[in-house]
Amino acid sequence: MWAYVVRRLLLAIPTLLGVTVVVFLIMRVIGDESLRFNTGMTMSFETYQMIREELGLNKPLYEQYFHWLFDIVTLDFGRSILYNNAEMSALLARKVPLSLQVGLMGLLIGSGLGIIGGVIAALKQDTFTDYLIRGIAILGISVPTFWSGMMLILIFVRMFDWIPRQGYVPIWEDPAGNLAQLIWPALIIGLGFFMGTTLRMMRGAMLEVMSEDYIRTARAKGLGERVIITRHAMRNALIPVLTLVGMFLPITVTGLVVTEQVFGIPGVGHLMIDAINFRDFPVVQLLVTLSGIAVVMANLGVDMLYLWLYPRIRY
Amino acid sequence: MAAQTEAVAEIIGQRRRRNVLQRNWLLWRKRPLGLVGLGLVVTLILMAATAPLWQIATAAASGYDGFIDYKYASQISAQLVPPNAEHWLGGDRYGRDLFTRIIYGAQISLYVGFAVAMGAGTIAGILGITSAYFGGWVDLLGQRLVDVLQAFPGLILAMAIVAILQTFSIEVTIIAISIPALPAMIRVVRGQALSVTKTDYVLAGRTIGASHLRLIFRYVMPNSMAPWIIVVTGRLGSAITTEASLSFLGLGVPEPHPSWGGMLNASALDFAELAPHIIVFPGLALSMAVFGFNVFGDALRDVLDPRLRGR
Repeated sequence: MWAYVVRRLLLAIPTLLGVTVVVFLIMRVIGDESLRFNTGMTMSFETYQMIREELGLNKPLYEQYFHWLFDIVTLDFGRSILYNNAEMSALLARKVPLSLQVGLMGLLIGSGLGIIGGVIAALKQDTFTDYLIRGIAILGISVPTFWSGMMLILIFVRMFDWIPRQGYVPIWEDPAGNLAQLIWPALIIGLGFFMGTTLRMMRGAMLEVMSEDYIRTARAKGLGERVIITRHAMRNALIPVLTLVGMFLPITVTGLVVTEQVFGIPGVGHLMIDAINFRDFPVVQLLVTLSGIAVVMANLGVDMLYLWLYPRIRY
Repeated sequence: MAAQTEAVAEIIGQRRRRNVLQRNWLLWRKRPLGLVGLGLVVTLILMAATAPLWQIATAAASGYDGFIDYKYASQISAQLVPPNAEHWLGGDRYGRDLFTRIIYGAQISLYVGFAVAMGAGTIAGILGITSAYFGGWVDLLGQRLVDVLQAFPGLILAMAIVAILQTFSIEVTIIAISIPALPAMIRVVRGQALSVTKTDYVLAGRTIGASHLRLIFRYVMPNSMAPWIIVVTGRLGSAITTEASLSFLGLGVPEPHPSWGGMLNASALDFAELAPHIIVFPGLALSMAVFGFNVFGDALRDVLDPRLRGR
């Protein structure tokens, strides 16, 4: 098992390096363009050369890459042009927890309800309940998060005269205020795509598992239906679903970008859009890289979780 | 005995008399949701095809006789007006007719959806099959690149691509959505092509001296089509959603193009309190379209993948 863990960790390294190479190659194309934009269109050639030199843009590409890679590895993220030359790591330390909280809350709500709904739908296969639950799931997948978010706000504003608070209160300062504010975007993220996809996957896996021989054996030896479902069926049906939840991370990020915009939450997604609109290319480059790294790490985490949860799977 | 044989023959005969369409209809009839999806997709295509006719009708309804296309024409009198006889779904914040714009929005959604599915689908098909067929270091390197590309959240990569290209147009949007769509499609096609490449009939083809091209096009490709069709149709819905998301963020199809996502732009919320119709209707159209493609794709998958039948 440990050999597998080590091998899996080693395998992640080329992917991580690949992520940085791809981002670097992509973003370098606009490097100079954005520089000219951010320092004003009128500047002498000498000033331009000076700034290039200062930012190390006149060095060979591979040297620039390794310099940048070193900065990433040592968590030296540089400064943002857009946010008053603020230290990027400080900026991220403020924004990442916020987005992470919304994303995790959404993930918990979505996968939790999805798993429960999927089990119920599978147990009541081809009944009205089954069709209803599946219908809700497909609807959740189809309705874009930004629209459901807008509709939620609209209903609140029109019916309850309530306006979502802008800005952000950390959870350790005002837990109730924080939750009252962030529960809505989390619900919107969770109840849409997450719940729908988890539910469908769980239903399928559950149906498959329930027709296995060991379920029959369990019934034959007189186990109660509840024990059969929770201990025998669900535990095994959760294997494919867990992969799915791991794959959700990229979608969480996507959902966050859009939902933060709707609810006016100053998280990472907001930062990304600001950076693109103001052509703050080092920030875009950093955020794209970090999102890629986060996904690779999450997949790694899910694989490790497998080992721990399912000793039967030996590699 | 004779009667039995006759009966069997009759049953077989009846079976044989059903043509492809009939057999498909039987499969589809058991999937009412799939038929709803098909209906929605057909409605969407009809909307897109008949958009100019609707434009004439809506322009006539409000007595518009300007030079600009009615879908782009701002009328101060129509600003944020609720649905009425002149403007069937009301007017947007610039005083343009919402109904006309939503009808034209179907064109953009369909164009982007099909362009992404066809474009990325074709590229992914070629890359997936060649990667599986040739194997070796081509496959290894290709798969590592797929790993890397798959690590990026789709929308983030699309946003970065738009940021690089620094232009906003329908075509840039299509490119930006297509690239992140590639890895998953390549995976599926490669997986299928890999198992086909290992079959005996491909070996037989190789033995009789078929060229690489012939083997790929006549042996491997036809047998890798079913999963390809499934992933391509599955992409349609998500491509439309991604286009809408990008346009919603102001990074996709630019104004004044009537994109559904663009109509829902974040600032639309500021006006929605006064005039809810400006976000209700475009969102409904968008959701119905994506819903239609999703359930249609699901049903198609069931029909094309015999293993899933009867589930």
